[in-house]
Amino acid sequence: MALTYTEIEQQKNTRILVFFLVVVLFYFLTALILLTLVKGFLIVYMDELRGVSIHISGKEAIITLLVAVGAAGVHIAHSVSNAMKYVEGSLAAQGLDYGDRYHKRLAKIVDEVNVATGSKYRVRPVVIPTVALNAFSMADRDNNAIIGVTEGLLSKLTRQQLQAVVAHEMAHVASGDSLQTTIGCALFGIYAAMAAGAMMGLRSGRYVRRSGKGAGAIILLLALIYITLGVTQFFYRLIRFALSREREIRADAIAVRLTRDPISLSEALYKVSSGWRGIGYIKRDLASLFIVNPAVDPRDEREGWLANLQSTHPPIRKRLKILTRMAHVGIKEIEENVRREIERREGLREMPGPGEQPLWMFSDAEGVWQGPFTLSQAMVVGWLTPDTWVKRLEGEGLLKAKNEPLLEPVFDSHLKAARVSDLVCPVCRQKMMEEEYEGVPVQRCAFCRGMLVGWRMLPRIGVRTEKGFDERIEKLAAYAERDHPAKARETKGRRLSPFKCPRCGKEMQRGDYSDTYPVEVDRCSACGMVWFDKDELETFQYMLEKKGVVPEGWD
Amino acid sequence: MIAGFVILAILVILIISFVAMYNRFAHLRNQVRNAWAGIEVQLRRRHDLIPNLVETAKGYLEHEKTVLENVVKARQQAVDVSGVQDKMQAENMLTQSLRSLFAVVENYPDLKADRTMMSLQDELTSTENKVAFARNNYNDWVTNLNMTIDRFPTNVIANMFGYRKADLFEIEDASVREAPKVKF
Repeated sequence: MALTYTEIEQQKNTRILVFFLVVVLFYFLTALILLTLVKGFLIVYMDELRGVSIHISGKEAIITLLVAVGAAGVHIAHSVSNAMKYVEGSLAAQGLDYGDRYHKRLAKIVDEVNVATGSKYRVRPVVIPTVALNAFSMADRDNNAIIGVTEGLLSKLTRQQLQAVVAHEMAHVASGDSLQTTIGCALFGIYAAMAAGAMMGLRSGRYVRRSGKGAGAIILLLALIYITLGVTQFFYRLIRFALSREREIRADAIAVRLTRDPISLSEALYKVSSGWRGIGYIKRDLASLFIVNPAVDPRDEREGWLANLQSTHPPIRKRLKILTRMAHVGIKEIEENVRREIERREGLREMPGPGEQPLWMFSDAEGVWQGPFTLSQAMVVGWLTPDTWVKRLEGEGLLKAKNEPLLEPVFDSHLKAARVSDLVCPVCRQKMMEEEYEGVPVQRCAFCRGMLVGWRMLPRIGVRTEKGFDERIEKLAAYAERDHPAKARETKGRRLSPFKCPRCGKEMQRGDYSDTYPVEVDRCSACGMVWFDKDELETFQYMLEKKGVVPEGWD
Repeated sequence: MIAGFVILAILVILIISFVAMYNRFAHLRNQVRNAWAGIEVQLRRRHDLIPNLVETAKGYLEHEKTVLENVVKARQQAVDVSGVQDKMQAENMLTQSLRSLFAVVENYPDLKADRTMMSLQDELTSTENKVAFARNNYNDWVTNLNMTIDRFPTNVIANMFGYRKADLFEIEDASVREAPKVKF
C-alpha cells in the first residue's frame, strides 16, 4: 500500500477537481431550472413575449454554465474558511492550555509528527472538552490544518498511542482527505440549510395564499430547488462515502509509514472503539471527519459494495487485521496489551499520602518560635530572611536560614517565582502555591490545603485517573451524599460566600456543585474560579469516577 | 498515410514519456534535498540545546569532567562536518556521548530533579523524536528515488543522465541493532 507523496498529491488534485465539477453541476442544474421557470413565468405574464419559445438556446446555456462556474468557485472558497470555524464551534473545541501537562504533551506530539510530513502544513492542535474518545482533522487550501483530540483520548492513551492517532489525522491532512471532507461538511451543512429553507418556504404557505399563477410558479420553483438539492446531495454523498472507507484504511497505512509503529495505532483504535466515541456530543454530519465513527452503527461492521456506499468508516476489525498483519501479531495480542496496560495504570495510581512534612521552627522578629513549617509554607511565609534563626524538628541544630541547604528554594527568587502564586488563600490570607493536580494547573494553599481551580478545567480532572482514593475520601463522599438532601432543604440552593474571589476580588457564591455531586464549593461567577476546601476536590473526583458521568459544566 | 500517422503518434508518446520521466527525476532529486534540509533543521536545534545542557550539568557533575567534555567535543564535530556520510557518523557519535551523559545523570538525583535540567531533557527528547521523524521522511524519499533509478524504464533515463542513488540515513550503532533482551 505504499503511496508516495507525489501520487497522493496528484490524487488530491484530481479529487478536488471532481468535487468542483459536482458543485458546478449543482449550480448549473439549478440555474437552468431557474432560467426555464423565469422564462416561463415571464412568457405567461408578459403578453409581448407570447410566442417566444421556452426552450433554452445554446448561448444561454453557456452563459449559465459560466455563471455556475463562478458561483461554485466563490461558494467553495467561502465555505472552506467558514467550515473550519463552524466545526470548531459546533464541537466547542478549545485551544491548548499550555499550563496543562497533557495539553503540552499533545502540542509536542503534533509538532513532531508534522516534521514527519516534511513540515508542509501549519497545524493547530485543539482539544474537544468531552470524555469521549475520538480525534478529527480539517484543512483548508492554504495548508492550514486543525487536528483535534478529545480530553478523554488525551487522558486514556499512552504517548505512543496518541502519536499514532495524530499521525493518522496528519495522514488525512497530507493526502487531501481533510480538505475534501471539510469542504464536504461545509457544503453538506449549507445544502441542508438551504433545503430546510426551501422546505420551510413551501410549508409556510405564504406563497399559497397569494393568488394566481405566480404563486404556483414560485411553489414549483421551491419544490424543484429542493428536489435538485436532494438529488445532488445524494450523488455527492455517494461519491464521498464510496471513497470514505478506502481513505480511512489508507490513512492508517500512511500513519504507520510515518511512525513505523503499527502496534500503537492498533492499540489506540482498539481503545477508541471500545469506549464512548462521542455520539450525542458530535453531530452526525461531522462524523466523517473523525478517526472512528462517533455513532455505533452496525452498518459500519458490514462489508460489501452496498455497505461501502452507506457508511463512512470501515469495520474496526478489518482495520485491526490489516495493521496487525503489518506487525506480524494477532488481534488477541493487542487486546492483551491494552488490558495489561490498563491494569498497570490502575496500580500506579498516586494514593493519598502524608504529603509534605513540617521540618522546621522559625524564630520571628520578637524571638518567638513559630511553626512547625513545611517547605511550601516556608516559601510563602513573608518574614523569613537568610538571617532568621531556624530549628530543625529532627535532631539537634540551631542555625541561620542561609546555612540550611534545604531552605535554599525559599531564597532563590527564580525558583520562588515559578512556584509561589500571586493569589492569596481566602481562608489563611497567605500566598498560594502553583501546583499541578493530575496535569491541571491549580493553586493550593500550603497551610489549609484548599485548592483554587478554574471550573473549565474540572471535567479534565474528572477524566484523568492519576490519583487513587483511600477509605477516608470514600467515607467523606458517602457522608456528603447522605447529608446533602437535608442540607439542601435548609439552605435552599446557593448563597453568598464569605470569601471574595482570590483572582478578581468579586463575591463568590457558595453551594453544592450539583445535586449529583453534592460537594460544597465556592464559585466566582465573574471569572469562573472554584474554591475547594481541604479534601473536597479529591472527594469530588472520587464521586465523578464512581458515577462515571462527567458534568460538562456548572448546572 | 496511416502508417505515417501511427509513427508520428508513437513518437509523440515516446517524447512525452521521456519528458515525464526526466521531470520525475528532477522532482525526486529535489524532494530528497528538501528532506535532508529538514533533518538539518532538527539537528541544528539539537546542537543548540546542548551548550545549555552542559552548563546546567557542570555545577553538579564536577567529578565527571570527561563525560561532559566528550559531549562538547562531539557536538563541535557534528557542527563542523559536512557531507551526508560524515554528518551521519558525527551525529551518531553525538548520540552516543549524550547517552553516556544521561547514564551518569541517573546517579545524581539532585541534578535529575533540577527544573532546568528536566525541561532541557524534555526538549531534547522532543527534538530527538523530530530528528527521527525527519530521518524517516528523508529515507522515504531516498527509497523513492533509488527505486525509480532501479526500475525499468526509468533506469534508462537514469543511466543517460547519470542519476546516482542517494544514501539512506542509517544507524551505525551496533548496540542499537541488537534487540534488547528483556528480563522479567
